[in-house]
Amino acid sequence: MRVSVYGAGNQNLYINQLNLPEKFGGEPPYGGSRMAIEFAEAGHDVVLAEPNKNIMSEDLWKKVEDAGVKVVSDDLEAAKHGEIHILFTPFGRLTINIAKKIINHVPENAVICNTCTIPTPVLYRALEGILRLKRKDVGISSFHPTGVPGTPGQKYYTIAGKSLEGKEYASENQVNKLVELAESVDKIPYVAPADIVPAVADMGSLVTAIALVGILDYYSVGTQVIKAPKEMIEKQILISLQTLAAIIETSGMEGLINILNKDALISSAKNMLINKKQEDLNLALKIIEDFNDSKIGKGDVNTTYLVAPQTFIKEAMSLIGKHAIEGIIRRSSNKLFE
Amino acid sequence: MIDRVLLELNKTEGIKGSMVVGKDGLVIASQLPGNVDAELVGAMASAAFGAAERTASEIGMGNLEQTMIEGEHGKILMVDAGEGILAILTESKVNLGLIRITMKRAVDKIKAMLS
Repeated sequence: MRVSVYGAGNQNLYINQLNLPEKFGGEPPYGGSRMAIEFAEAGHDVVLAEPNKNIMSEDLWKKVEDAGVKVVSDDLEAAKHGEIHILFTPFGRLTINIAKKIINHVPENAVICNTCTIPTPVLYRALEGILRLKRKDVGISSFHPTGVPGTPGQKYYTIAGKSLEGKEYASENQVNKLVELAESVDKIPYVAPADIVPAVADMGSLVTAIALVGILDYYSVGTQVIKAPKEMIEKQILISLQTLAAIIETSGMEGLINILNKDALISSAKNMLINKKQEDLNLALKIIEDFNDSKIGKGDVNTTYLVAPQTFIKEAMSLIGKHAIEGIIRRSSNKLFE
Repeated sequence: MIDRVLLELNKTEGIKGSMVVGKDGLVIASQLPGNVDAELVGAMASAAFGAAERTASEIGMGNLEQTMIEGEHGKILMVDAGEGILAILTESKVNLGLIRITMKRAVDKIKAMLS
């Protein structure tokens, strides 16, 4: 297969700041350049686009080229090459800009994939005008490594399939190609709904994992010990998660720290230490108690509407229709990542 | 292609500009005056048309054919164009009958292009 990878990966971050060779094993180069090496070694025709040659040392570039990867500095050259395009590029807006730059130049029926810097639905919505009018043939998915490429722990590639709202961002054929590419480099392809990929495969999976522990704990204690109705437990879980999410969205971490009274939270949550198995809550309370607010600082809390988004969307759809609401979702999603 | 239909439409007396947006507000083609934010007006047209469509359906009026917003200085007319909505901006005093006929002709062409 012809594969184009964009972005070699920040080797200074991987080697000097995160100390990956010692902590997680493997050897440099890591990231996009390692993906390119692995694809080339599996027999694929690979182009790696990296405008910043200084992102890694000459000896690491030599490893990339010795593997048979063609290195270019121009994104458009890579755009014309691949049937699969993998954006191992910086967070948010920059990745969108590169995708917008390449989309009109990719071969027919190509698929463009995000990695960890932007969710697939956000990338799709940012490109929707072009995808719906000029390039209906191009698919959008993810080829999301669950870990840093080059570390032995990176066993999966998460591929974005049909979204929870039922939307297909890429054709079955395009998704199958990605599955085939993952298998060709001895990784496990995990085709997941496009919307949930960031939560399970991004660095933010840390948040998902810890939040899930809290959810499971409360669900267990709530239904089995307190014997509260399941619906009540679910709604309380929703309120907690949505409150945190909404405040971070409007006011950032500084706003969250400002508005959450640590002592009141600890005092209240201690009352939920009901059985001895709740080691998670004990540990959480200790971490919160030891946490120094000044590490983040306190900021203003902006106007925040605490709503259940899905219920809100359902209500809004009943007033102005599905299409208009989908447009609003697209525009608000684009604004979030501007 | 659709732009050509809009340019032709804009020659009608009283029409200041026109656009075609998807039902979700995505701008498909726009020939609006330079001081109008097409993205924003497209989104608003989608919401206004959607609300009118839902209202018509709720009170048993059947499929919505046209929505009009009248302001002090002009009007916006929106008609169903299949996959999209054709919206036109007019001056306040216009021959609505003529404009509706012109829009109908344009919609037939646009529907064929969008399908």
